[in-house]
Formats: sequence, C-alpha cells, structure tokens
Amino acid sequence: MNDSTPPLSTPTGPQGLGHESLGPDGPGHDDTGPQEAPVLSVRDLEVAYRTGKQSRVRALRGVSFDLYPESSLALVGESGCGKTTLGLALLRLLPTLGEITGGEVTYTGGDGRSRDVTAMSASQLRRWRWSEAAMVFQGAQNAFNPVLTIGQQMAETLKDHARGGIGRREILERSAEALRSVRLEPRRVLGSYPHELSGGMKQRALIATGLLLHPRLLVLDEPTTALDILTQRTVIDLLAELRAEYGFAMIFISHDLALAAELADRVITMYAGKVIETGSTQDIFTAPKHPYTSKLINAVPPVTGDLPELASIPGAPPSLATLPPGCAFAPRCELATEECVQSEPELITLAQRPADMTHAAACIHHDQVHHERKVIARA
Amino acid sequence: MPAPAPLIELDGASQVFHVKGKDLPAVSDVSLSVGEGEVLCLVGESGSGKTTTARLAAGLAAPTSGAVRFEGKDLSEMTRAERREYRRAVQYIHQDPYASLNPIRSVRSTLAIPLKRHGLARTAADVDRRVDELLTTVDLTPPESYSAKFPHQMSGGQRQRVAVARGLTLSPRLLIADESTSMLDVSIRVSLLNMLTRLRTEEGVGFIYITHDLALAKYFAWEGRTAVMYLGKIVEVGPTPQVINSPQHPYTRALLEAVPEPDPELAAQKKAAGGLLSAEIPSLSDLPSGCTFHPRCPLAEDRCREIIPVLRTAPEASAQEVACMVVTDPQPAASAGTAPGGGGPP
Ligand SMILES: Nc1ncnc2c1ncn2[C@@H]1O[C@H](COP(=O)(O)OP(=O)(O)OP(=O)(O)O)[C@@H](O)[C@H]1O
Ligand SMILES: Nc1ncnc2c1ncn2[C@@H]1O[C@H](COP(=O)(O)OP(=O)(O)OP(=O)(O)O)[C@@H](O)[C@H]1O
Ligand code: SF4
Ligand code: SF4
Ligand SMILES: [Mg+2]
Ligand SMILES: [Mg+2]
Repeated sequence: MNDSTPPLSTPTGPQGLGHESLGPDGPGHDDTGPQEAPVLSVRDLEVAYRTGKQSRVRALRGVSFDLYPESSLALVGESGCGKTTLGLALLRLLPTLGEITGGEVTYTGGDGRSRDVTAMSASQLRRWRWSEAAMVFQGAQNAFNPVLTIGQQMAETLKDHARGGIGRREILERSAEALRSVRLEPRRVLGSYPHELSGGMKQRALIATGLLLHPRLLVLDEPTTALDILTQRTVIDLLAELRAEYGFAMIFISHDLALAAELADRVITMYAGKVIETGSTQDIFTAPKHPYTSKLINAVPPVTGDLPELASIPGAPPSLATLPPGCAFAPRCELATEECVQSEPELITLAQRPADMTHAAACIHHDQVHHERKVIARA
Repeated sequence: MPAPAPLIELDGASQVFHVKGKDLPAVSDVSLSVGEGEVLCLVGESGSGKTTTARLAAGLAAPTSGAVRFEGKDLSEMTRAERREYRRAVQYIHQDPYASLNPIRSVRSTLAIPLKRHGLARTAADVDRRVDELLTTVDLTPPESYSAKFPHQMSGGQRQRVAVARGLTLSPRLLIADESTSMLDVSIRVSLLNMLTRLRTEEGVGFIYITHDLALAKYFAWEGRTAVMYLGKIVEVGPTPQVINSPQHPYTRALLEAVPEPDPELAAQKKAAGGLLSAEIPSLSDLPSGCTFHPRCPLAEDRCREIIPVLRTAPEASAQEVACMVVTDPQPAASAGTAPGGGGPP
C-alpha cells in the first residue's frame, strides 16, 4: 500500500480506472460552470480479511465509484456481499483482521483540497473523521457505550474531533442543536443512558452524533433495519430533510431495496465483493440490467397496487474463499451460459448520465434481462 | 353436528402486567380465531401487544381475564393429556433466531430433543430420518451438510430456518411466527414465507403471523385476515385485501403510509411520518382517555377524548370491523361518555 503523505495535488482526483470515464462533456449537473469535484472518488478498492495464519479472503474486489456533493447513494445486496466492509474501508475503520490491500479513496473537502484517505496517518484520520466524514454503524442498539449518558458520548466525540478545542458551553450547545435536528428533546436525552431510550430514539441519537461536526459525508449502515415501520418512516423522512438542510453527501447501506427507492439518487448493487450494477434510482428500479438486481427488487413486497408474485433467489451467495469461475452469480443465474463461466464480466456502460449516474451492469447477457413483476392478484 | 371449533380462539382475552405498583394492560379484550389452513396476521408498532397476544395463544401465559380455547376447549379446564396435545399442536417460532437457538447445540441435537421427548423418534436412525425430512422441508439441503452445524457456523437466514424446523418437529397444526423475518435478507425472507405458505395450503397448518410491516401482511395473509393492534387492542380487523386496499381506521392508514415502497415513484408520494400528529407512543401505565389513539390521530374530535370506541362494522367497508367512532358513527354522539369502560366486539 502507498504510504506517501496526502494531499494529492490534483483537486479532481484520479481519473476513472474502474468503469469508463464519461467522455468529453465530463460529468455535470448543468451546462454552465465547471462540475464540482466528487466528495469521494473510489478506485479499484480492495479489502481482505485474514482468516488464518496464511489465508485471507478478498471481501472487496476492485470497487470504483464517485460520490458527488449532496448526493445520496444506496449500497444494496445480500448479507455478506461486502456492504459494511466498504463503508468501514471508506472511513478507514476496518477491524484489525481487515486490510485495504489496494486501490485509492480520494476525499475532496469543501476547500477543494483532495486527500488520499488510504494514506492518511492516525492523527490525520482523527481530524478528518467526524468533522469531514462520519459513520452511523449497523445495529443502533449496541453502538452506544451502555455506561455513559448520550450527552457524555456526544461530548467525547466533540472533544476528540472538533478543530482547535472546544469549551463546555459550546459542547452543550452543539449537542443540543444536533439532538433537536433529529427531533429529540435535548433536556431529556442528554442525561439519558442508552437503555433508557427506545430503539428509534437511539437510532436518531446516533444520527445526531454523526451530524455533530457537520460532516460533508455521512455513511449510514442499515439505519432502519431494527426499527418498526412507523419509526422507520420517521427516520427516512428525517434523513431526507437533514440532507436537504445540511447538504451532506450520504451513502447508506441496506439489504432492503425499498429504502433505496425512498432515499437514494443512485444505487450500487454489490455481489461477492464487487459492484455488479450501478445507476440512477430511476434506471435501477424501472429497468435493472443485472439479473441479480432484478431478482432483489422482485423479492420486496409492495404495499400499494397489485399483489405480485415474490420469488427468492435460489441458492446462496458464494463463499469468498472459493469463488466460482467467471461470473460469481452464475451458479444462481437462470441466464447463465458457457460464456459466463469463462471470465468474470466487467461493468458495461448501458446509458451515459452525468454526475456518475451512468447506468452500468456487469452481465454479458444484460440485453436479455427484462424486468417485470408477475401479478397474482389485482388490487 | 355443529361446525368444527377453530383451532385457536381468544375470547375477550386480556393480559395485565403489574410493574412497580402500576397496572400495564398489555392486551385488552382481544378476540380472534384461527382455523385449519387459515392465516391471521397481527400488525402494529412496537409495544402494541402482538407478542403478548401470541404468547396467550401459545399457552405461554394465562390471560388475566377472558378465555383462550383450543378446538373449543378452554385451556384452564384442560386435563393433562389435553394440555400435552395442545402443547404439541401449537408451536411458537421466536422472533429472534439468534437468541432462541442454544449456541452449544448442533442442529441435529436441537431437533432431536423435542422428537425424543414426545416419543416421535425412538432410535437414532428414526431421529436421523426425521431430522433429514425437517431440514429438507425448510430448504436446508442437502441435510447432511447442516445437521452437524452449530448456530455460530450458520447465517442468520439459516438459523431462522433451523428455528422453523424446530417448530415443525412435532407436526404442529398451528404455527405462530413472531416477526420471524424482519431482520432477514429480502430473498431469504421471501423463501421462508413461501415455504410457510406451502405448509398452510398443502398440510392445512394454521398460522398467526406477526409483523409490523403491512406489505408483508399483504403478501403472506392475502387469503386470510389481518388484525391491526394499537396499545393492546384490536382497532381494525378484516380480510387482508380489504384492510390493505380500503383501510378504515386512521391508525391502519398511518401504518400503510409508512411502509417504504420498492418503487421510487410511489415512495415520493408517501406522506411525512405516516400522517400522524405525533410519533410518541403513550405509556400503558398512563393511557390517554377515551380513544387511546386520540393524541396522535389526525381525525380526532372532542368526543374522542371521552368515549372509548368499540369494534363495529364499517359503513363504507362492511367486510371489516373498526374501533373508531368517527368512522363507524360519523354523526357526533348525542351524549358524550356513553360507553365508559367499553370495548370488545358487540
Ligand atoms: N472480521 C472479519 N473477519 C473475517 N471475515 C469477515 C470479517 N468481517 C466480515 N467478513 C466477511 O467479509 C464479507 C463481507 O462482510 P460484510 O459485513 O461487509 O457484509 P455485509 O454486506 O455488510 O452483510 P450484512 O448485510 O450481513 O451486514 C463476509 O463474507 C464476511 O463473512
Ligand atoms: N413480562 C412483562 N412484564 C411487563 N411488561 C411487559 C411484559 N411483557 C410485555 N410487556 C409490555 O407489554 C407491552 C406489549 O409488549 P409486546 O411485546 O406484546 O409488544 P409487541 O407488539 O410484540 O412489540 P414489538 O413489535 O416490539 O415486538 C409493552 O409495553 C411491553 O413493555
Ligand atoms: S454474466 Fe451470465 S451468469 Fe453472470 S449474471 Fe449475467 S447472465 Fe448471469
Ligand atoms: S375514535 Fe377518534 S381518536 Fe380514535 S381513531 Fe377514531 S377519530 Fe381517531
Ligand atoms: Mg453489514
Ligand atoms: Mg413482539
């Protein structure tokens, strides 16, 4: 791994090595003025976990994408496909057995300075995390320390990460502001221990902690999975509002595609440590072009309209230690042919779109994927 | 001969817990029934009393008032032999497979214990055969690659299937599945639900299925009934298609509005916070007066603070019963406070 010190000199970050760059127009929200640099530019990221003295598994295999300011990206896929690993790697929070073994993660701050996150030192990371990029972890129930009050935990985060120190008064003000932004009553919550709060309150308090230092990037891992449906709705609406208000870029991880439909501008489907489809939420939901994405969508029941047939995806994801030859999805894929097991398919661009909304799928038979839901009963 | 009694019947069942000198009416006057091959879905937010109701139906707790009957027989009047048969026939599948499987027991031993205890498999060969069958039923195939595994060696979905297989060891006639699918991968969830539906349609197993997600209720209980619970009471009940497609109670509507849609266009149309006035659930020890939903209800009128609504047939949707006076009795009542302490079906 590259140990040279950041920042990188180019403010735009490295050019696309993963799926192809966007051609002469470049990515852009509008036709006037230059496109803002991505907050995060990920290229060929590789992560491995040590599983024995000599053995390792590759949990991420060549992940590349750009995340633009104020946009919202959903990472979806079945359990074990590497969603959490990717989130942790982006913030350099991998457990000790995990290691970034290749690739680059370039972060560009509000000042236009770009830095290679994979090369940051411990002290650089401490300054960067929370103030620039924050993560809300999977399993809200356990993320707080049970013996400290919410107020104490927020104060610790502020003391450790606020630039140039912070006084008691400001700690209180900032914590209260963050709690109010997620509609929690600071007077009640600051002095509470985690077990005194309901699951939904804890989840909101965690989001508030993530927002304490107004980061430009917020990664949320399964932010609603453990919550009941009304609390989920509150959190979904809140995230949409907070993003509009604070303008952070958001990556959220979920195995539930309905959440992506609610919150994301853009979706990345992962399978066995690889990006296998990427595109705007609209493209992904109306015309997914990887058979896996199509099947994932068809496994989620809609509540409005006709009752469609739901089908599970046969089999299980492969073990990362013994990946099948060629396309990792082939053993479960109805469209698989001889060709699919020859070599692993690369992302193929299907529709060019600005700001990394390009629709691409890693399936050689993408033109045979016709997404539809079979109706069992009419509404 | 009269029509056969339903498999399970709750008749005005209540469960009041006593905590720190306070009464917590976790379930109040709930009546429901499930017959062979039928499915009833219980929905409601966290703390609405779904699990407590399910535990009453499974005989894991006795109601503080009202009755629970199995094939017409009151549980409190059963002989030991009848009780044993009931215990075999009604199985509860716990909501958290991580907590409910014993970590030091292999899959085979988890399944073998109830088989032996109830004399359903005597020899080791019997046990092996039955374990293989059960694992095949829950799609853990080939069975030999799972029977020696321990919980920590399996994925969440696989553990969930083992929990289902354990629920099936005694060939139950009623399965109570409690949120058994909420944390699971969507694909695993669907394959479990499809498997449970097969048990219902092919083997006539009855189901009580508990979830907080009306999209899952719609899918799993489309051919059955759905009951919506709020603070221990059923506030709307009827055939699932009607409850989903023409919800009458404002709480049912809020639950429907809240469901995330796997479709960006539909998702964009959802109302904020499901249209409720407040996200806070009142405490059971200090319930609001009148209709307990009134502090959160977008339709609440003055009389809602005083009168306790009872389940009545909805005028606009005769298939379902609704506990909301604004829906069932749109004219303001002549005199307030007519039904103090009321509740339960007429
Ligand atoms: N500490 C670890 N040591 C070894 N392998 C690990 C470790 N953490 C994760 N893995 C493996 O890496 C892969 C990706 O795991 P990850 O937690 O990123 O998946 P995920 O997509 O977040 O799944 P889930 O939906 O279950 O949270 C899995 O195969 C997992 O077994
Ligand atoms: N043994 C008990 N002692 C005291 N209170 C209890 C007990 N069991 C449940 N309760 C209370 O009864 C109410 C209903 O709980 P229950 O577990 O039935 O709700 P639920 O609808 O299953 O919720 P969830 O969706 O969170 O599982 C809650 O307020 C709960 O705190
Ligand atoms: S490349 Fe072949 S095996 Fe892989 S998803 Fe496409 S059709 Fe299926
Ligand atoms: S009775 Fe009144 S408060 Fe209760 S649900 Fe109906 S309108 Fe709302
Ligand atoms: Mg994860
Ligand atoms: Mg419960």
